[in-house]
Amino acid sequence: MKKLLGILSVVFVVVLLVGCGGSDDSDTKRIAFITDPVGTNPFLTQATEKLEEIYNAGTYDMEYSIMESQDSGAWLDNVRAAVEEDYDLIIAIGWQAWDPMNEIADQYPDAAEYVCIDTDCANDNIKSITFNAAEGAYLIGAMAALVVDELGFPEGPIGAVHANPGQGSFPWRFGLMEGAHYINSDLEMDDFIFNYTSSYSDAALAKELALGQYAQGARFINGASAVADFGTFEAALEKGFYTSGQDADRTNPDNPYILSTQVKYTGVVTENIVDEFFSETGIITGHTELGLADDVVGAIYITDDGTNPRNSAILTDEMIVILRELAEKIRSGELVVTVPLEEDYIFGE
Amino acid sequence: MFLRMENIYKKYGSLYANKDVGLTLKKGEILALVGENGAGKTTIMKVLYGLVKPDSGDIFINDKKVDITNPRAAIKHGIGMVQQHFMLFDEFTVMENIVYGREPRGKLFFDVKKAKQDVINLGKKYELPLDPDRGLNGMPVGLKQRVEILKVLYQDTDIIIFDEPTAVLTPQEVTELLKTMKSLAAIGKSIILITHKLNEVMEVADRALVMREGEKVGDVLVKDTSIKELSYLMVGRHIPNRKVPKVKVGQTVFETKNLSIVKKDVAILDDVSINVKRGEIVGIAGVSGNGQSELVEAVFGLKKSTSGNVIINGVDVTNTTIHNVRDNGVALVPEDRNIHGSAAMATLTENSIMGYYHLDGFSKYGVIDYKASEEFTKELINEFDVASSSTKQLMNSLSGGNVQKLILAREINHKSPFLIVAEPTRGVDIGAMEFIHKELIQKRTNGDGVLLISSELTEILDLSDRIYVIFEGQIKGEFTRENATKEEIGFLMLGGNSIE
Amino acid sequence: MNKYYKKTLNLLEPLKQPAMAIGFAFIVGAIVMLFTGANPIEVYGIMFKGAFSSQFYLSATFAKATPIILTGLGASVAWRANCFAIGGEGQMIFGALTAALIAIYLPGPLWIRIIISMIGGVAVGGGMSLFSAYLFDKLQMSLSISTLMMNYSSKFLAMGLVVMFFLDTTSTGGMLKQTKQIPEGMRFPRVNADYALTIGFFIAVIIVLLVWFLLNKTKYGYESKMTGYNPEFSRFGGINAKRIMYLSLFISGVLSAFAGVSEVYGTYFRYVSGSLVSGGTAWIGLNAALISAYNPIGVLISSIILASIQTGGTAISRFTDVPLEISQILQGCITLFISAKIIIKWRRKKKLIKVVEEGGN
Repeated sequence: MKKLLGILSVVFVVVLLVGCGGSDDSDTKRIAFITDPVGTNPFLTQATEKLEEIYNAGTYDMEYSIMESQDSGAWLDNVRAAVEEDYDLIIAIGWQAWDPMNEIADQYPDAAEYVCIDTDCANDNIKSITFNAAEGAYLIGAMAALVVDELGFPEGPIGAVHANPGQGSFPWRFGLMEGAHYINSDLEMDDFIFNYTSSYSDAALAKELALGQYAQGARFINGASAVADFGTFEAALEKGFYTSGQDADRTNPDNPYILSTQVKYTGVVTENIVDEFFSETGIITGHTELGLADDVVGAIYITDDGTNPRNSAILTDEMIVILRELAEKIRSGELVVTVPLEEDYIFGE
Repeated sequence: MFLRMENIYKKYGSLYANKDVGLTLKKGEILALVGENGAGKTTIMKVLYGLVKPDSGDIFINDKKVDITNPRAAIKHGIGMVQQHFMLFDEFTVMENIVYGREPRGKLFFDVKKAKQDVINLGKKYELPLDPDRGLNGMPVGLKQRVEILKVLYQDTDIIIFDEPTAVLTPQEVTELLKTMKSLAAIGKSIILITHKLNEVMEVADRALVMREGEKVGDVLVKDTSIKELSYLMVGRHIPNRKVPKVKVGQTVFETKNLSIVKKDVAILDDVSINVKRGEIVGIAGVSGNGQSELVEAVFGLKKSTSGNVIINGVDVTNTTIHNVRDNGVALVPEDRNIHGSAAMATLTENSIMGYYHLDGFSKYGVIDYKASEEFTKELINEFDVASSSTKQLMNSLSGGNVQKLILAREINHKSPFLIVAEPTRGVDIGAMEFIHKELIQKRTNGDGVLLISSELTEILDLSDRIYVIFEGQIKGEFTRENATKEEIGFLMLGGNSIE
Repeated sequence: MNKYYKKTLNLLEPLKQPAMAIGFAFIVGAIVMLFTGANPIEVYGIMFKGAFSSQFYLSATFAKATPIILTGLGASVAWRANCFAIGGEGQMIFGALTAALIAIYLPGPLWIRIIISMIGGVAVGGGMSLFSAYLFDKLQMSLSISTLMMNYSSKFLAMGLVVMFFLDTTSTGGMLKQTKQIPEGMRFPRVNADYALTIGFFIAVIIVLLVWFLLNKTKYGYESKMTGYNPEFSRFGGINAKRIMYLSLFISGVLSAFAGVSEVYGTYFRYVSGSLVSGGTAWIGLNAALISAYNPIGVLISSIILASIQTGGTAISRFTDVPLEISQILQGCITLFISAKIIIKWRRKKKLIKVVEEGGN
């Protein structure tokens, strides 16, 4: 017992000594990328993979650190520590960034450049980039209306398993409904079924909700609950209804029922931010919302060709032509997708 | 010589628990190990059983030196111990308890059939029959002890240590046990019996080894000695025959009128009317479990009585709170000192101030004056000669007799006109017993009343001015010191009806 | 010399078990890391650095320890008196929500709002705890179960209240379920503007001393301790066990709720749904209480150690490529090894109580 304690304390001291190594000073720029745990969430992996790619390419004299924050306490710790540890560019992704980034950017406006992705931090010291998710959802909605029509259920219902209710995620619902209505003006608000997982990872719940919607007659069920979409996909494979995912290309050669994905190209955004940081202007603060026209929002097979072959038996070439025309209309500004407040929203107007 | 222990030394701090102790044991011999609490009996047995490592000394079995560092090694060398507090699982059956740890195996799994047969055979062999499938829950203590003995025998032991085996038994069970020991010895098992009870030593043992203050002070053949000589060796002084001084009897200080507790149509206490006057020790004789505990609980309001009254000093306190009863002048030395009388993990001070801590001088504005409390504890320790090293030591570091002394000290110090003592000398050595009896008589001489509840008939007869006999919740008879006879009380205690 | 050595050993005795638990956890963690190709010595070095190596990190650790200390004290007070309540989380949530709402919506001068908001917060926590005491007293509902259930319902009830009535729609467009921020003048001042540490930690230390006094010097402390050691003896000695239970659970609820209040005043400046749950603060606090055998000073020390494992854990993800999961495995191992010891202890205690109860019949 005593021996063991002795050994442990020796180990501890060694660890101490090793831990206190020196650090080197150079012109290498340091980038902190602060995020929820990355795991297999494609919304986040696109960005982290892009950072690795930029680093490996060696274009810029930079190094980076992915700071995964498991809870809101860790978010506060990491953002504060990033400043303390002299990072030059601090990128935070997700809504959790709001409080810590605002606080730190107010306290240390000049210590680093601050960028928030996917949340509008409304702060003069921060560059905020948000996505016009409704544009992607609009394309998926149009696709859904085309597919159910093809399947012989033109009146729907069209299902959707999303993460959260409330205004924050209204763009996804709004886009889906309006896009479907664009194709089939006979659709009514009652022809859509929305359910919520209240989580980004509860695949079991998502599956249950999707099965319920299928039982109610839904033959296209839109998944928009991040990792939990796996549940919706599994239900689709079992029951044979069609579905679509979110964030990054979720199509799968083993599951032909996943027709497409509404995408946020966080990799593109990350690359843009790094480029801007190393450009002459540096990071330009303020809020920008990016959409189809900026190539950061879209849908697989419509705004890009995807990595897997398209299920062209269902998502036919004719449909793709129609949908690409629609995308072009949005891109050119001919069709404007602006999300209203949920309580002011009147379907189909 | 079968077992030999030589020059065993064991020192705790500055105190020798064992000092140059030697011990021998022949095959088929019953050796009684006697001595006051703290004399070092337990230590030497723990050394033998591998629970304590001696500072020096050797153990030989069949003249071969052995190294016993843990109980497993002891069992391997054929040494088994029947513990005072049984090491049994109440949830298991008799068979499961006996074979636990040495289960017979079938091809793959525990062979239940064989295990049961083993237990039945074992019971037959040693004439200790037991139903292998019976659960231990609710089993009488005597039978549980039999399970414990069979468990030890199942381990193929040749030497069996019994640690105070009769402390928890009824008189009939004691007789049974002593018979068992003799028959075990007759078939060649060697037995070491740790005990306080010298009459048991005289009845069953071949030889007695007497210890005092860590040293061996006597090793005598039982046939050549007497209780008197043994007790002299044990305490180092002669125990005087008690003379109880005459005291004038005063007013009634405690009275129950037709007190009953009925639970599910069964009367646990049945119409009990007793009284205690100032200057009296009143004994309640009876085998444990005949309503004595319930009587105490009913008096203190811990169990609600269904009818009848409890009157203290003329005040009716029936079914009130324990605070109220105590405030009216009752102190209590409860039956089980470890469960109701003390907290093992608390310090001596914390144990001593229970019942006092809310009084002036012990606390002020809700804050306890620990300095005063420690002074108080020291006084108790000094007055009652409690062997201890510090007021901060934990209660469980004291021996049973000393725990009891401290509890008695605490309760007597209340200077209440009435004291209830239940089984005050259970499991306590002779010295402590003497002391406790002396204090009870002193209390009576001071003109207070004492209610003595005890299953030791000798104790009752020795001390009581009046005696009630209780059986199945009923008072079966009342005697005065003068007209009490052991035979008649014993008869009533065991359910006989009064001869009158 | 020898005497001092022995004295020090005696003082360190209570630290032996937790030290062993943490030691074993580190060894298991090291094995896991070796399998994933990380260098355990480097990772442990970073953990240590990220928790203690500078004032900045130390203050982060202390800030993290604050709610752990308070919930740990809350658990200590209850468990010591044999009340095995585990409602710290629910009490923390409603303490925090109540304090935040009063601070945000009550009109009047700031200092009055501070006082009312804090009293309101802890009163709600104490009340919740009293309710479970009542359920036990009148309906014999197990304390562990009623408090655990209240944890769950509190979590969702608080979330519902925030979303339905008190949602801050200005930040993140309502994506995060949180209330508005409390006014700046009400927040706990920081010890140093650059550090996370606020005066909340020092308030917690003062509370540690107060609880120490309460438990070791007062009549209540004596009564609750003796009840914990041996309820039957206490009953025979005239201690009113019910009073002790109600009182202990109330104090426990108040302390846990104050952990929530301190998080609102010193860390989040608002009630953020899920923020008090996701870090497992109340459970870590319970761990701290059990490791230190309900000794308030011990709770302070073990809370800081447990907090350092958390701050050190986040540092791993900042300084290395080791995935967050590894540091979570490590934290899990430590909790596991410590809890293993705790469960044994708890079962022993339960067994003792059972024996005592049976003996009493």
